[in-house]
This record gives sequence, C-alpha cells and structure tokens, in this order.
Amino acid sequence: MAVLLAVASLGDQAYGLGIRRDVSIRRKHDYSVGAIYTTLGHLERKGLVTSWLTEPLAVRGGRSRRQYEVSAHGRRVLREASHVAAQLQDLVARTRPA
Amino acid sequence: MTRPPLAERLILGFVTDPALGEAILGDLTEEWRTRTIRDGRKSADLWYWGQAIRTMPHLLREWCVTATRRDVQRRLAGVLGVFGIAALPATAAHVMANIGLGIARVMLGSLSASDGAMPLTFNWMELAGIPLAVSAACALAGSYVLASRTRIAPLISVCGFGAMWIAAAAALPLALRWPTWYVVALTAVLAGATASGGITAILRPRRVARPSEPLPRD
Repeated sequence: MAVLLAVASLGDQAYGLGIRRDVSIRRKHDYSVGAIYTTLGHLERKGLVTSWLTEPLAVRGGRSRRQYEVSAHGRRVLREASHVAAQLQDLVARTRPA
Repeated sequence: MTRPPLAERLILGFVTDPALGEAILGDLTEEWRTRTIRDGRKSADLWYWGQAIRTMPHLLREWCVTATRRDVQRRLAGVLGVFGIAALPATAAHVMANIGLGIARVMLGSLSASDGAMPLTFNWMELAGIPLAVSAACALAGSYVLASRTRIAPLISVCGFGAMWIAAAAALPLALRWPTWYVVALTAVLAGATASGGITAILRPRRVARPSEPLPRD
C-alpha cells in the first residue's frame, strides 16, 4: 500500500529511485531497489499500476527510466483503503476510554 | 567515472527481464552518481555493492514467481544435460577406482594370509587421491560449463554430484574402510565447485547490452 501511495503522490517522479526514497521516508526503513521493483511488479500484475520506459538519460549512464502511474483500478483501491482507514479512525475515536 | 563493474554484472546475472535490469541499473547509477559527489567514491561504491547484494534475493524470487512452465522445463533440461557432463564421468571414475581398489585389497589380503608374511602396507592416501582428483576436476569443469548455460545450474549440479558421490561411496564394501579425510575432502570439492560456478555466473557474458552512451565525467 505504501508503494501504491508513493506512486500516486509522486506524479512524474514516480520511478524506481523516487518511489524508493518516498517509501523509505514513509516507513522509516532503507529499502533496496530490488525490493521496490519486486513490489511494483506485483502491483503491475494486479493491474494497480501501469509502467512505461522513458528515453535514455545521461544521468543514468544512458539507461531509461521505468515510469509508473496508478491505474483506474489502483485509484479505486486507494479510495476504498482511504474509506476503510477513515472508518477505523472513527471506531478508535469512539471506543477510546473517557 | 564508472560504477563498480563486478556489482553491475552480479545484478545482470540475476535479471531475467532485460527491461527490469535496465531500470534497476539506471536507478543505481543515478543514485551512485549523487552519492559520489556528496559522500565520496568509496562510500558510493559501498552503497552500490550493498544494493546489489540486497537486490539479488528479490530478483531470484521474482524469477520464481514469473517463470513459466516452459522456462522451468528449459532450465531443468539444461541442468540435467550438463549435469551428465559434470557428474557421470566423475562418478564413473570414482566407481572404477573403487572397484580397482577393492580387487587390489582382496588380492593383497589373500596373498598376505596364504604365505604367512607380514601384511603389506597400502597407501590409501595416494590411491584415494586419484578418484578424488578426477572427481574434483570433473565437478569444477562441469560447474563452469553449466554456469555458461544457466545461472541456477551450478549449485544444482554440485548438489547432485555430491549426492552421487555419497551414493557411490555407500555402495562400496565396508571392508575398504575409507580414510576420514576423504569424506572431509568431499565438502571442500563441493565448496570449490560451487564457488567456481558462482564466479563463472558473475563473469559470464551479459544479457543486457551496455548502453553506448557513456556516463559524463565530472
């Protein structure tokens, strides 16, 4: 979910390195590039994100970036997760002892 | 400025999808450049190596998840094919030598018993060394050949070879009483063969072509 959230919030910076930085900050853990790409692969297979390759860049030693974007299905899943999180927050607030 | 080439090859050795390799190495290069300027070359290289090592298990897992039945069958066929090259001559040499040793032992034993002379001394260390050396050479050669065909093959080949070695040794007459070091040496041979397979996997030709555009110099 953290990776999906990162892809949604980063916009045109949603590529491996940017996502890794964002997720590492959010989760306070230094994730490896491989871990991020494996998760992105899972998300892509589930149809939650889509990806495409950019033009080769000099800063990357002439290699392309794999850019990610949340799909319509992914946005729907994020909305549902947000709804569930709100309900949970509400429940916790109501059950808090006085 | 160049990235650690060995670490780069290590990653490429585990990548099955060239596009994924391109993306991962691009990310690592980009971050490595930033870290080289900010923290120095040594620190950046260390980070690159750390990432390469931490990325490998994920790539291996990714292959296991995404491999099709055909992929598995092809690799298995390769493993079994080259396994024959590695294991069969070694096992044949091993069994032949052991049979020869068994016959020699029986003949020498009966000679000593019939003429009542002092038992003949038998240099087991030297004799056992012959099949060991042949087996080791075959295992090493096999793992090299195997590594050039498929990345996961060396370990499987070496494990299979070890199993055959143990089976062949277990089939021998107990009277032969193999020296203890012979069994210990098996571990060394397996470790050596695995290491050689691993080194070959690193040094094997790249799957993804190196981009023609060089990294700009600082």
